[in-house]
Amino acid sequence: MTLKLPDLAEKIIDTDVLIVGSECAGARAAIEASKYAVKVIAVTKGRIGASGATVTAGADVEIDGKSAHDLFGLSTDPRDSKEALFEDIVREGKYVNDQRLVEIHVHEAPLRIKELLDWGMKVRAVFQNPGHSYRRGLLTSGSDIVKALRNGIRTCKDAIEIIEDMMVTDLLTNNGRVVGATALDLCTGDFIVFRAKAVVLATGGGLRIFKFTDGPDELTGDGQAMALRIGAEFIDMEFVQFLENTFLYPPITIHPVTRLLQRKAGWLLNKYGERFIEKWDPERMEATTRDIRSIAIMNEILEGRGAYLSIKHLPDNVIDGFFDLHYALREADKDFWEYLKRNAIDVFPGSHFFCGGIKINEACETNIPGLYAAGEVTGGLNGSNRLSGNAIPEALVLGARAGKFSAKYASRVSSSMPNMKQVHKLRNKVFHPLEQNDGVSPIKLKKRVQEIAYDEVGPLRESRMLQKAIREIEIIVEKELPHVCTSAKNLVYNREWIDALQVENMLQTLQLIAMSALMRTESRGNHYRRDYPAIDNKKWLKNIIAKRVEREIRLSTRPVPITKLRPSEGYEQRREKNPS
Amino acid sequence: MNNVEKRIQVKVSRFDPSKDNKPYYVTYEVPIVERMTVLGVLNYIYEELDSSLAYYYSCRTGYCGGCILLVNGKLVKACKCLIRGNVTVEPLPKLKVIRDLLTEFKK
Repeated sequence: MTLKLPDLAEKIIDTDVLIVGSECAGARAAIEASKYAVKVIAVTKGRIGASGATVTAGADVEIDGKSAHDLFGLSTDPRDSKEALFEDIVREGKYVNDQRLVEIHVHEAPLRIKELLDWGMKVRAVFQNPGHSYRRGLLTSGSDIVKALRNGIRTCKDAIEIIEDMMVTDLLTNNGRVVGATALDLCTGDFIVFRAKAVVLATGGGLRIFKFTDGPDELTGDGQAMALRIGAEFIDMEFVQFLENTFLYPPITIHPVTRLLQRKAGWLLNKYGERFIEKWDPERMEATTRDIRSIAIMNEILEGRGAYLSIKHLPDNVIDGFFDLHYALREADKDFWEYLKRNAIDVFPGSHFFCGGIKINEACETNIPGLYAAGEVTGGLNGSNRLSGNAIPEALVLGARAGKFSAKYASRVSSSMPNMKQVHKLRNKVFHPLEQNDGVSPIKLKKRVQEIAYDEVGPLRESRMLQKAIREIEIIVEKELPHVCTSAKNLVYNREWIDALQVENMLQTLQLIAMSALMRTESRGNHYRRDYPAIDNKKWLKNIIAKRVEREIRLSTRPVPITKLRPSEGYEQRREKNPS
Repeated sequence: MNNVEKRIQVKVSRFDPSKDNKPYYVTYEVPIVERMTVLGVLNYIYEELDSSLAYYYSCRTGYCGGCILLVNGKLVKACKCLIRGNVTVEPLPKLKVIRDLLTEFKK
């Protein structure tokens, strides 16, 4: 029997450039690609401006203070320079950054921020953030940024088509190059085939793989897993940034509390009422760096002592003062502050940012021809720890580059038919959970994966935990994933069906993280190994490269590509002690 | 904490345009914990009682606005709206309902 595309898909959509993801990196890629007279479609699993991490950004945006001063007339420090920002990024990344990407970043970020200002983003304040050598932080808001990007998209008129509520499920390849993607229209249940000359992945980090996160719910590592399945290379997936400002208090995350800790106003307590941070950093106490806070909190949780944040020792009117001070607090958060006057709240480090990701070069090309990636789905730029305020500029810089180079590539190559057998297989995979009558609940499986991720591959790791996680993932992939079955059978917006498709991506992305984390036998940046608590520059000034060959993940290392900046002598002694 | 379990009645508007003539209500009984929100209640229904419920949300923090719904007749962000008793949850008015609480997206 010959398989024909119209029999395999309810809809076939042709485009030159297909962008997966509609927020910061995706939107900026679409705007840039549209300048090259190619057809551009951006697809999002969610809704534009109401999905992805961009809208949740704090939002601190950092470019060098001199550019911000000279170009926008802001009160940033004019003594600052691109070189100084470069140094801060590499130093905070603990020297495993791809310095070629950092170089591009510091040069292009001011241009990208200028565009956002032109499109209506407002700067509300200027300040100096921890980790930054100069006053260069521009305070704006996530909703400002997404509005500006939407204005940017409007300037392109009809050159960009945006499709919402559509989940891209897999990438299509032919002779080793990307020729399109498959997708599920969530509002109809239709299976869609995109024929595209180039695909840009801008799907963000896989924050929701972890039980606790301050990221949105749909970030399930889809881009990473899709790229993995077609043989893309990854860099340093072990570096997942956790922040301590995640609470069980709805709405789950309140950012300003980090500032209470930075100023030593808030106390971290365990269930015995002890300020356990004293064991980790007796001088700075709660004002220690955020990675130490996360590790210390996780240590208390794993040791069964629990971790709480309290500001009850402060007078009520001082707490009210904090409420007034901390800018964009919405009316609804008043409940939270009233509650804090009386109670300590459970605090958990939540996943906040993926520093590792798909390996790209300066043109945002992956090792697969036709596949580009931009933003948090990529790795390398931030090394082992992202400097605050870098996420938005990074997504814009790489987004614009991915848009440009994918469009140029798409103008050069001719389109190619996807492999029908591959399409057939991928269609069956999508409908499989719906067609089963009995099996594993995607809702329950998703929760279990999130627990394994958090408890064993989370802010605190050691060999035993990572090996256990890797074994558990292997067993789930082999024994349970093939039997995932939705109890609801609706074709139209079936959340359980979406979860069933997401859980495969979560497992595969988690596997990459766990295996890379096991390989890196040191602690660096966001990767903390209780069994190897020190940084080891003799052995580990390296990047871990991962890719799938056949059905196995293969890991290798490469020396860090250093163009400018090396760690100074004695740098290794810097790492803090392990108290337990 | 250690509250005695409290249960509330949650009346949810359900509608599948492909087979229903008009929306109807289903009432679910949901155990609530301290500081639970309307979104928390919807997630409980989805996870424990009826996985066919269609609704949208993203950030859970009040930023994205994706979960704005009609709760007891008032427009609220479901992720920010604390539960204070029985509730009625309906989709945003004046928009085409795709299914249940999910409407076409207002740009």
